[in-house]
Amino acid sequence: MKEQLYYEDVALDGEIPALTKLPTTRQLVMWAGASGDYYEIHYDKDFAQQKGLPGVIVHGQLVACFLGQLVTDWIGAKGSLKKLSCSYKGMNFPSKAIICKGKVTRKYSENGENYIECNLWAENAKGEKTVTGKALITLPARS
Amino acid sequence: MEKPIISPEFRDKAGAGWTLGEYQVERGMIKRFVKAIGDPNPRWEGQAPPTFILTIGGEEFGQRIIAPMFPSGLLHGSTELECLAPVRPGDEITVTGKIAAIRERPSSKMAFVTFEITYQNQRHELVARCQQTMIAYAPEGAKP
Repeated sequence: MKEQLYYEDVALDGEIPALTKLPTTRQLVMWAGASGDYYEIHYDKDFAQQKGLPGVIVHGQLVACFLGQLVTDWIGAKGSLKKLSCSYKGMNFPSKAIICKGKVTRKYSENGENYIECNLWAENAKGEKTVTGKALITLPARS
Repeated sequence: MEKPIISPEFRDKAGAGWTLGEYQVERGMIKRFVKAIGDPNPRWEGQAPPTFILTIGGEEFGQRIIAPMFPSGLLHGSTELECLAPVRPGDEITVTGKIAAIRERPSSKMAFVTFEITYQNQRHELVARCQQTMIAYAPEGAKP
């Protein structure tokens, strides 16, 4: 079990522990089945090339869920992800590393809740940000 | 003939809405979801991860709305998800959606279409809201 994160422990500009994913074509097919997204650009290379793509690409929304996991792994069972936004800026390809990262941009208390805002992003091995996003979370306080 | 980037019958449909359906959340759906992501967090045994809701009605959304609307090239532009209540096995989720905006850029042969999707449970609580933006494009230099 992961330790619980508390509001007081979060520093502005602090980094979220990175999460690295290496989605295979098998994982893309599993995602297609779990999400109902059967668009062929994610498993049929010829089809993807007919659409002007270099090959099969990773579903943007799978990467959004990786970023969701980055956050939920970090905040623990008593933390809550309230908002998650993702812009799909670039393509990710199967069997290439996707490194999910995040940084705290704001913390504040309002109406009895402790909020943290973060910037999130997924980058490839070259350090190019292929997905960028933001998260709003709530955390318990120690006191 | 080149295919249009948005099917003509959808071009003036900004504001149009629909009900995608009602879905019962089963434990197995959540298991399949966390396995597909590779998220072994034991927290997801009694509750769905917040992003799970994105998959509810996904297949029908793809078949009924996305596939007929975008006959040409299609990429996902962005997702904005707001989670308002937890989702648990046994919940019955009603998914409704509408086309919030259609912005065409004829010069670049691209169009941006934003959908607003809402998810309500059996207690009529709004569990999530989501904005999905799709990018329609004309595939140039595509291989035959």
